[in-house]
Amino acid sequence: MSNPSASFTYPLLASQVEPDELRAALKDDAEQELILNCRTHLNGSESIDDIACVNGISTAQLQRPLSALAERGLVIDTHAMLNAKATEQLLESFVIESCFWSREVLTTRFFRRLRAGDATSNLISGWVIETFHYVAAANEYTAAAVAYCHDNLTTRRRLADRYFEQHQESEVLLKGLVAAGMESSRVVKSFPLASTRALINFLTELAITDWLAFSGALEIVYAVNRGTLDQNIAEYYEQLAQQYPFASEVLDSMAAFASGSDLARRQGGFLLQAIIDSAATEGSSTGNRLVTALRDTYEHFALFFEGVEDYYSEPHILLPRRPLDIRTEL
Amino acid sequence: MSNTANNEVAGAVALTKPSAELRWGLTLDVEEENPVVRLNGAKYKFAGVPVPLMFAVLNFLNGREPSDQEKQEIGLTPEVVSTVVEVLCNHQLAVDLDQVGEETIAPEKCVSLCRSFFPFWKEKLVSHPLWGLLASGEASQAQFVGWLVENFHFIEGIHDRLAVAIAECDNPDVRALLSEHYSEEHDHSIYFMSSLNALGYDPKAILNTRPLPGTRAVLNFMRQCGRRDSLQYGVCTAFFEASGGTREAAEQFYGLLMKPYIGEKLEAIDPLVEHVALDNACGHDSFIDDFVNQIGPVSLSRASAAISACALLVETLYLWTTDIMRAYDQPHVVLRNSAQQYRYPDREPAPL
Repeated sequence: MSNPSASFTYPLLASQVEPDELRAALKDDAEQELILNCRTHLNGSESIDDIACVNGISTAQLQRPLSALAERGLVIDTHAMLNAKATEQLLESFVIESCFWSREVLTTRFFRRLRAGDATSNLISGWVIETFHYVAAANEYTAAAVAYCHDNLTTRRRLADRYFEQHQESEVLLKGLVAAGMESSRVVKSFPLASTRALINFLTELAITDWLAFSGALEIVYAVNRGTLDQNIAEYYEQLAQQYPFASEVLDSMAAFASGSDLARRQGGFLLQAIIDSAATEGSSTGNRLVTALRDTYEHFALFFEGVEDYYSEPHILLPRRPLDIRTEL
Repeated sequence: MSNTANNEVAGAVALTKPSAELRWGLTLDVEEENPVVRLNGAKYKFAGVPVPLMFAVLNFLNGREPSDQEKQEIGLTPEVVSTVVEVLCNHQLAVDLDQVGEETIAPEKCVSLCRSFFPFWKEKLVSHPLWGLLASGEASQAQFVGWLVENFHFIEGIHDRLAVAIAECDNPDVRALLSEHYSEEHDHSIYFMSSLNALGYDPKAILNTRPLPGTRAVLNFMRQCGRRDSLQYGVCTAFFEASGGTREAAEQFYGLLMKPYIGEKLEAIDPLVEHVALDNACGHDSFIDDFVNQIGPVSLSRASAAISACALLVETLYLWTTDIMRAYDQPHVVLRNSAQQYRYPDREPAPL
């Protein structure tokens, strides 16, 4: 991965860096140790000069290992997008930052547990149920992005195309849940977790207030829909199916959904670039809006997966979650 | 009750879905190898019933049919389902929906239903581990300050939520109630800001902080209710305003915060106590009656959606508290104004 910022100003290290990844990026033991010693300061808020000073080294000594880590998407400069002078530079920084935040989502504890083979049947079913809800909610957030895009007809058309690509994507997940024994209507009417509703409502509010930022946030949505950043989708889900043979129906549906979403992303192209090209949105505020949208989207996805793990790790929960029907309370 | 069927399918007996529906909030647990069902604080022990069988029946009522293999392994037959469902109905843990004749609900009944749920929901919220940690002084200074900052954003967020509800309301009488409520509460965030100022935090720094996704979740949820139906918004607001005896407890709670977190800066606690007193003086306990009476009788499905929304609000508030506890689980006070990591690196989320 290339890095447009030749030198870092405010470096942010990924939350999860495996020892193997660190060794692969940094051959020198001393550099590995330096990064480990600095890691709490590599938080995106402290300047590289201050970090170097605290550790009694020169800024240049810190730049080299950071650049090597950045090549592997393990470090970003949090000011790169904010400081971008031209659209091309902004988009290049955006791609790097959206990959970084997507990786942050895909390395949360839920995914680490899933890959380690530690997930239970309830946890996998719950993941698919909640994914069903947020994917079905494209009928809320992407529809809202179309409805509130008043100032550019070309952009609105592009958003409408995305809406038609997404509006029935949840059906494949529903089929998987039904194949696993759940009633279709119960799943559709089930009660999403508060953290799922938080993600849906966040995307909806973003779509209503800023279609440009929303189109940027979709890059993280597509990455999360794939389920894996660097692995082939089919291989990834085959591996999961081998680890969790009891959840084959829902995992098959997730694989089909992930492939469909990935194909749509590739066919539809980079929406943000198309929008920026057609809407002439260059300006100092664009970087700020996109940075905020990416980080907020990451945080809402992190909350989403934490919610899935907190709730569906309980052993005796009933699936799917019922909404409150007051006829049982009269 | 129509819960029998006799069709043989590949060696297993097909089950017909009973018309009974489980009560909301019912949970299953296991004690001494016996299934235990809990509902609204009460506990029902099903001694002698195998846990897998009980779990399968409850899941079946909930919309998840066991596989033929599971049915055979646990001995799930139509007769067994019928017997368990009958016991559940006799103990009012499930209700036969075929017996419910009403199509609308009167305001008094709607209010009484809300009032029956609110105490359990309040209890769930105050049982969150963060309150215990703050009261005992075990929470960090970062968590205490984070709790104040996020409360500031939440209270300031009245402009985000109540203004939407007013703008979307199509009933002039209900809109007037909402507007009056707005005029009473629009400036209450000042109390949390004053407290933070007394602790030495600059107002500009606080205004520049990014609220947690959990805080925004509450505000965005209320905006959604405001757009969808005034009744949903009103029931959720009524939950906020229902005291349930917790305001006295709130004053006591603030007292406990003094030693570990406030130290000599006693003026930091005064605005919080003042806020509680002001809310008390507003007398919002009757908000639910006034609001629901203005709307009048409504369909059961609309009332269900409104009370259901309130149930989800309660879960969202719990999520918010969890988010504060975890995001501010940092060695030093962090004001979220840049790209700080959402969770402190290498720290597993605190268990609930």
